[in-house]
Amino acid sequence: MQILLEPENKVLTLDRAGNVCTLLSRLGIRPGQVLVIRDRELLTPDRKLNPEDKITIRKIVSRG
Amino acid sequence: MKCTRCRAKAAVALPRHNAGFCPECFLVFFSRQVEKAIKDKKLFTNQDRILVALSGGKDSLALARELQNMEYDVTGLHIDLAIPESSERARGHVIRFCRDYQIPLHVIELEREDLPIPKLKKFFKRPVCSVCGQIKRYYFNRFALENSFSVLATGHNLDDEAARLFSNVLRWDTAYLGDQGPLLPDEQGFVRKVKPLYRLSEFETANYSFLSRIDYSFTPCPYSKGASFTFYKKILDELEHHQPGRKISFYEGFLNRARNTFARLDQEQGKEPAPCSCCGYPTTTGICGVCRIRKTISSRTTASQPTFSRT
Repeated sequence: MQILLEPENKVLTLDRAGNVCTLLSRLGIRPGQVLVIRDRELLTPDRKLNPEDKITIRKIVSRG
Repeated sequence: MKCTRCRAKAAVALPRHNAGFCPECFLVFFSRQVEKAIKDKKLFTNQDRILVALSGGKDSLALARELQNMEYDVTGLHIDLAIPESSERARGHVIRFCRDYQIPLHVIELEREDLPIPKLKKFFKRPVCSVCGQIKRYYFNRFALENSFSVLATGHNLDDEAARLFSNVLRWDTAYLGDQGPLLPDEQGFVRKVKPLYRLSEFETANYSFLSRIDYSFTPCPYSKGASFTFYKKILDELEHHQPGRKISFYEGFLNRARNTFARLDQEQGKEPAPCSCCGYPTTTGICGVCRIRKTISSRTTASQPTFSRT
């Protein structure tokens, strides 16, 4: 599974999928701090992820 | 998770409302929250000319879009801070947004005002965010008054307001506590200021902007690293994660039970604003903050000029 972290534009590759909640937990991110996007669709924390997914995690905190 | 309203697949989970929404129902939820803020706090009516401060971020663009959807009379004002790359990008987002949604737009360039933020950063020891905020508030207010807008609307959301309240409480700053809220009435040279997104979290405005396909800037200001507000937001996020609803109860509790007390205290102890002796802007310190910034730059520039003597 490929993860794009925004706004840093950092790419991560993870082998295990699970769901959005476990993915965020592995990355140390709270669900209310990011948008989780797959194919232009927003995902809630309970949504299952597949190994072939390309996921964008966009931080939402505005700074400045 | 299913949508609380229509049972379709949810796209947004909102633990503080114990609810989830599909894209269509989330937009309805968002509009209702904005409408409730406007009506409950009597922020403005359809007769008002509203100037919306547009930074190019999700909050201000979401606010302008939503107010336009509700058929309010909206005009945008963007302040170009002249920060390399960042300001150009932000300005591009605002220009494209206003063009696409046919919202009239004005731009003030700090470079032209001889107040570009990178230059100011060199002259001040205090965080440049506070200098930048002071300058933006000055130009937003001045532009609104000089161009007959009755209301200045900003995209401050619940997270911004809760973090500001937290900061003011930590310092027990009675003047700021008496002056914080979604509505600041027009008085003594200040236009009416409103924050119609105060009931909505940063997460909710981000979801709204994404679902409304608003092309917003999500790269942070390069000068904001280490800002205390970002730190306070993280603390409050942690609290909200463990106790959903804590932010809104903290902020609304303040508005309903404490704000008036601080406002009274400030009236008794605070100073009345008078026109700035340089530019006429209302201030309690004789010379307003922006004129003081100009004076500091001018004195330090003169002091650092090399002197040449004829031999």
